[in-house]
Amino acid sequence: MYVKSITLENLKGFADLHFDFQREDSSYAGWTVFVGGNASGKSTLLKSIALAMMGPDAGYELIGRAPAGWLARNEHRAKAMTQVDWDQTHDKFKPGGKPPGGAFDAEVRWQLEKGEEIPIFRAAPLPKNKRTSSAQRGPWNPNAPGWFCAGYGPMRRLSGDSTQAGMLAARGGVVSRFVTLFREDAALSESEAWLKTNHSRWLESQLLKSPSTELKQLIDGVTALLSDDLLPHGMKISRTTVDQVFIEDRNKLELPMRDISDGCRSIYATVLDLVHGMFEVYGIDGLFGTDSKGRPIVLRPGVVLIDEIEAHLHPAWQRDIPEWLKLHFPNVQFLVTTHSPLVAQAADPNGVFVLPSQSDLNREPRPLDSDEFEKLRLGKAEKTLLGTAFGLKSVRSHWANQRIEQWKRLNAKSKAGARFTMTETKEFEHLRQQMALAFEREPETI
Amino acid sequence: MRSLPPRAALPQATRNKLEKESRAIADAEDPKDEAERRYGNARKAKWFKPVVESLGAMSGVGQRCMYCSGSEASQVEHFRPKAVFPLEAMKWENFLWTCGICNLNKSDRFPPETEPGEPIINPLEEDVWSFFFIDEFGNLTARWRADLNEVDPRAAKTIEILTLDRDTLQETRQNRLDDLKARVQDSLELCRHGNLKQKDLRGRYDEWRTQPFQPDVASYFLDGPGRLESPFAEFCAEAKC
Repeated sequence: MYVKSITLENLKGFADLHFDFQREDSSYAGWTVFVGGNASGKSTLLKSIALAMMGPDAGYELIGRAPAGWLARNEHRAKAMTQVDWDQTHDKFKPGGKPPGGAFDAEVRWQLEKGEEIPIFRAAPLPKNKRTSSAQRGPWNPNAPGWFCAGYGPMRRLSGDSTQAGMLAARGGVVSRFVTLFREDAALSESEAWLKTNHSRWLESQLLKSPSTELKQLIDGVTALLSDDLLPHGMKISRTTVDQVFIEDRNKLELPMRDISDGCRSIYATVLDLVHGMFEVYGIDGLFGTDSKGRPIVLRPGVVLIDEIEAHLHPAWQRDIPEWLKLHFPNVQFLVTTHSPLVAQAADPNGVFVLPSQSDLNREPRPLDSDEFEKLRLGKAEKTLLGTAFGLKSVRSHWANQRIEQWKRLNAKSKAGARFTMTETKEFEHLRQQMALAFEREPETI
Repeated sequence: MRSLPPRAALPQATRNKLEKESRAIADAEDPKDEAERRYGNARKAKWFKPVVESLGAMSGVGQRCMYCSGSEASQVEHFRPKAVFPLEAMKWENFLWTCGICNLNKSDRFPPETEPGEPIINPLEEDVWSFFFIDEFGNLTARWRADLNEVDPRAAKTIEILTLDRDTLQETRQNRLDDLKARVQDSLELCRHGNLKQKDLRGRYDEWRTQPFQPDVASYFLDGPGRLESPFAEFCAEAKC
């Protein structure tokens, strides 16, 4: 499945938002980013897309039947509607009506009834002549094959979730694939447990002298994928035991996965969870493949939401990870939020959407036009920060800008022939040296 | 910001139409709403074209923004914001030709009417270089006011509201200045060796003045007070311009 568009109405700070995600060549897969300041509603947008994709039954387990705080002030109804496009080979509908001819609506609402204080979360009402909607027979139906989608919050930990969040995560199904997006106390521990269990089952099947080819394919596939330059410094999965997954670096130093750095664990946990989710939905058959250069890839389609993908990552890695995910999940539509120009630069065409800060009434949420987009993806990170997507006026520190201001002031005074005090004369000389550094030109290559 | 030619004359028919629109706004029950609506319609209408064309011609080759000189202008800016002065929403004397960034930065800000502070500078009506100069690093700088013992408050407010101190503008001004200096020095050198005549220098000078790349720098150093600085002073003496 893919998300063709999202429409929000009266939802938290969004009076009216509509984004179309289809690319010029009608495809969806690839990298789409949402940028905007803190509290501009990026996480709300991801959660809304998630809720519309998973439907009211799954959604209520994550936000409750009567969720407070979603409806905009003084409004009676909020809505989140996605147009869902689908893939005939992988996404199947349950019986009850004709499959739709193309993309169809999946819409959830927060409806405030008369006299109530908290709205009810539910599906948009069906037209009078219909008994079920395509959404109910497809993506919202836990028994309908296909429809892979998943969402990750900014805290992507391997372990340490609360009991309740852990129960949601362990439940399996669509709810578990979105739990970290909605709950900070959730961890991605299930997937490592899943890998270790399958490893044990593989060992068991060997002992019983009936080695399972399916399990072998799964373990080999996961190991190859996670070892294909996902982690820095040539780190690869060296072995899996009943208790631990071990990582070995270029110098043959072996560590349990749990002991490697935060950034590595966060990425490892996310990718492992993605493969786990896709295996649950699609099975092993045809899940893994190789690209034209022989690199291991995951072939199945779907939608993956990630909130602040760059959390814990060094800038070099912020630049690499989007490319890694695009290469290894070539049929997945990634919808991610970011504060990083390096992550935004990986966007594919029609793939950058700007959310203005909510105090900025002059600006509307909007996609970058093709001109702005080309500048962003061809330019340097610094230029990207200064461009329309991030909108910084300056990429210098406040201190440096204060020095520049003081230089301009004294320089104006000096130019006007006004007399300097002794302190000013001294400061002016010092500032001149500082400005030479502040505005130093890059040496020209000859 | 840069020195601009005086406001051009509009065709009489366009003037009449603008006046008619202004009267309709003044007569409306809610002039602010009416101004918004009428301006919105006019911007799409054929009769408004001469307005845009005249503004474009006034901003010169490359149609650089009248505020920042950095980006291509694409928007009619109301110097006195139409939300605050709806009766001037259709007044030719109130129109400037600016880029989206400056227009958005300014929005409805117009001190002292909308916020405390000195009025900002209109590049079409005032002598820009008596308020600003450009330093050796490409910083647009507010001039010193001896009478106040402070930088010019109007110039400072203009820089603040339009963010004329944004990094990108300083950088392009610095690039243009370095480039212009190199060309001037190069030409002077060639002239000293007899490879260029005064007439050739003049030709180069005219060419540089009409280049669209951050034209505030050329406006200041070739046509403005920056002419007195080295190496522009030597060049102007040699070229007799």
